[in-house]
Amino acid sequence: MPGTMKANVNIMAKKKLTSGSKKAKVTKALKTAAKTNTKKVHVVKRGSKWATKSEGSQKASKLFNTQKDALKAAKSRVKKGSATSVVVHKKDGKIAKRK
Amino acid sequence: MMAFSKSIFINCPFDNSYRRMLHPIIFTCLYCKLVPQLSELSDSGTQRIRNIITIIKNSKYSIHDLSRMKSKKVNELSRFNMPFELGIDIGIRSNATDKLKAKKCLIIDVERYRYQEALSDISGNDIASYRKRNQIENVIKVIRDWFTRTIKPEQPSASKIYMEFTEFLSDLQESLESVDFSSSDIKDLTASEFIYYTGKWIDERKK
Repeated sequence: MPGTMKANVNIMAKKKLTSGSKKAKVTKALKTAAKTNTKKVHVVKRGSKWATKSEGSQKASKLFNTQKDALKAAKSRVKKGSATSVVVHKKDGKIAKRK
Repeated sequence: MMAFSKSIFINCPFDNSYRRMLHPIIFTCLYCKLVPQLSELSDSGTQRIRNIITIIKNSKYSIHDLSRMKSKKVNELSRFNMPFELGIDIGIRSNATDKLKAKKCLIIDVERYRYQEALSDISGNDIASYRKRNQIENVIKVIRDWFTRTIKPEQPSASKIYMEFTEFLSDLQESLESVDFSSSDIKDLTASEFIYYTGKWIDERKK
């Protein structure tokens, strides 16, 4: 979708935190992250349940009744070596913690 | 200027508490290949309304969130900007004789039928609720489902968009931290920055 994501965005706030070289660095890091599978396992809210999800996968690996159970399963995957680290998301998707 | 058929006007509150909703809305639009257009907060009265009218006229699609029609605290006033801008959008479409006749809008609220009491004149439009629980997943789903009806049936699934959204947030936070952004800097990221980085990430992801 080249071009569609470019400027021409009407801005809701004038102040910009990123500019110049920082913006370029963030963009570069983001692009790399978008393409790289780092074997992280994510713990995310799914409806009334919590799910574990492998980095790069677009589906939940497994569903759990509580975040605690999902986290336990995610940590177990790290222990077994099938994942490198755990990213726990809040209900709104933002990062709560990384382990 | 972005193509009319690719632009979507997002009419919603711009306060911090709404940011948790705005981000998945922006992400869903970009993921479904539309470019979000937001009104600028800090213009003077005359310029602001002109700016909004221009954005509405340049956007084939629009999403209007009326969830602030009810104040949350005692003595707090309701917000009228969103219903007002919805009215402008419907007015522009109603009087159009050109491409503006093809404009489509989705009205969303946290409750399904509340509008019938507060703004019953909008009956007959596309109205959807993202409910009180699981709002992030729900808002992604109602927008994505609307795209299947108004743009084309082939859209990514709501689950896929949601999963991609959570992964993007993780990548964005790590990328910002890599250039020494503090947690409050990350929290204060402007909508334009969020749109910019989201677009870059999705472009790369879909290559």
